[in-house]
Amino acid sequence: MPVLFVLFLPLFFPSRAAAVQIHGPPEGLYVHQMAHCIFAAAMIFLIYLLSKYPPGKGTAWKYLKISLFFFFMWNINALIVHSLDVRLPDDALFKTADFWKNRLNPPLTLERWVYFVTKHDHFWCVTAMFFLVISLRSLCRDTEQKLTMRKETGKP
Amino acid sequence: MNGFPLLSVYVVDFLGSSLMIVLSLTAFHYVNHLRKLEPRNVLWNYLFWLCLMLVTFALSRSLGHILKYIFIFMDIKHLWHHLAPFSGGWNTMTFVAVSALTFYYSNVRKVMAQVREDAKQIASANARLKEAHAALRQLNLSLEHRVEKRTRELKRSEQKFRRLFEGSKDVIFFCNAEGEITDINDSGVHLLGFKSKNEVLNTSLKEFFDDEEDWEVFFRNLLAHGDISEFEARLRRSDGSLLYLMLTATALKDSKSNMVSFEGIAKDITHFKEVTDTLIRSEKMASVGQLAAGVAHEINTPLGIILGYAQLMEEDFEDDEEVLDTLKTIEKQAKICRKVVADLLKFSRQSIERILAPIDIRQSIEEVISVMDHSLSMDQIYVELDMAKDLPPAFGDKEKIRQVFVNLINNAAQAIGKDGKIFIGADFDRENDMIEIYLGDSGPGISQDVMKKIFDPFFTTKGVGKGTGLGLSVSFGIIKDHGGHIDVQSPPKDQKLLEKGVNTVFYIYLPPMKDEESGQSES
Repeated sequence: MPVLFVLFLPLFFPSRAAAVQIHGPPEGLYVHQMAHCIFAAAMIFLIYLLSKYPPGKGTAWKYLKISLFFFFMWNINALIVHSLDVRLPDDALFKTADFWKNRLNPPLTLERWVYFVTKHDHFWCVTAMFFLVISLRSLCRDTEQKLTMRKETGKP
Repeated sequence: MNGFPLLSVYVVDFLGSSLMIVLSLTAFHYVNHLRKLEPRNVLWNYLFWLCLMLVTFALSRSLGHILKYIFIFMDIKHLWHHLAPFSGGWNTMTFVAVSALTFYYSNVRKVMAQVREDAKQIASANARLKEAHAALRQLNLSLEHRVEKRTRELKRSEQKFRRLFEGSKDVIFFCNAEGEITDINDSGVHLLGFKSKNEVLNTSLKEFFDDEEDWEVFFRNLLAHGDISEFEARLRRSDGSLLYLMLTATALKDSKSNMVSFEGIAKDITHFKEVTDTLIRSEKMASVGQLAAGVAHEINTPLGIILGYAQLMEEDFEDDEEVLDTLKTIEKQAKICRKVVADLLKFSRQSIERILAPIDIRQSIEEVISVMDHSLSMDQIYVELDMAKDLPPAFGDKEKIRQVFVNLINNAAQAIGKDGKIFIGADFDRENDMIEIYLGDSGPGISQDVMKKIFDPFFTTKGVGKGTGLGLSVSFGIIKDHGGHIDVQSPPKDQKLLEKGVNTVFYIYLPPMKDEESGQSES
């Protein structure tokens, strides 16, 4: 336990960890962006795998591929919005004391419009999650049917 | 107020975050169920971990966002600044985990595909192996059936030939190229005078041939022609007695036409030979008898005249000693001639003197022995008697039967010379209804050549003047005249006699007296 405490101490007091190198603020963003990139690549890769080596036929697999596509799109969307978060000047957003009245300041350029649209990223990820759910539900049904049939016929 | 409100962003963010939590948990529920259904399915396992990551991502991100709104609402916004890096960091980690899992899944999928392929191949190989095994088993079964059937057939065939081999009354023999017996049936073993097959095996067949020339002819023919049929040969049993066999043999040759072995059948024709010999002898005797009777009749009359005149002249020359001696010599020689003629007539069974009566064989033999005992004792010849007490009487001329015994005992004594034994026995053979009398001696025995002519008239092995050669032929005629027959064996076939030292034995077979004969006597 004392060893674990010592090991995890820098996590709680990062500024006191003088012996380790200090990383500037963009590093977290970069790591996050890179994570989005490999997440997107993984999704495309999985779509490719499922298309080239289809594990089965039916709507369930189609839904799964759609879900993966939406996850891919969500990552792309996230990449864009995170980039725009950095790119847009501080005055692009009008932040008031009343949070709910925050606004996008003019001039409303394409960049600012894109930022506004891509801020609605849940359209992508919720849709992706929805297709994942219905895909898994179908797979469950198919598998149950398959197992029941196997049980009835006695075939392995 | 200028600008575009961001409220829709916050609303969508809040609702979307809530939905993300609900949907990710639902997805996890399904995938967990899926994993329980097929725990060994790689894809389900991958999706399980993917969903688990998404759940943690959804919880981290969505709860973070929801908390953000709550903190703003509660005006403790600064807390969000503390929480946001943890939430963002956790999200990044889940992205990395999902990506790593996906790329890793690709490899696992490959491995699993390979495993599946291997399993498929193993299954296919197993199926082929099963088929091959089934086919092999079928073949084996069929082969077993076939072998069983062939074995049964072979066994039947073997039993058939074994029965034929063992049960045959003829000799069946197998020899190697050198003529050594490799196998022989029981009939052969017994016929050659042995008790067990092992005594005969590996013995050369040649050793059993009495005449080596016979063997040479037999073997040469077999080598030259490959077979030989109905070859008559004289063989010698283990006890030395003779055996006549008719041999038929076939040689087995190899690819170079060299004889590797031969096998054959031998038929015992000893009895047939004996019967034939006896028949020939009988026929010969009959013709010789007829001849003798004719000669005797023709000589008897002039001989009677010579004898009569000689006797008359003796009366006339009683005073002249020289003439009287000459006449006495004529009378003596004429009487000898008359005896010879009488013997010839007896042999030819044309003797007129015939006194028929029941004959006590035992008594007759004892009487003959008592008469001859003295002279036999002089030569240290002893007689051993072994006669059954309940012998039935024979019917015929007692004197003639006695003469037969005298002839045979004389012959035996002469054969022995000095110091020997004569064995005389008599028994009643109920099976053949014959009185069997045997007379054996410990003399040197009789050769085969002599045996063939032994009953011929005037055949003798004695020196000149010592015998007329009519004794046995007369005996033969007498016994024949009494409805019996006489036989000689040298050496005897009877083992008991052999053990006693008998080398020659005469067997006399006489019919017992019949009921209708008991009342009649003639002279």
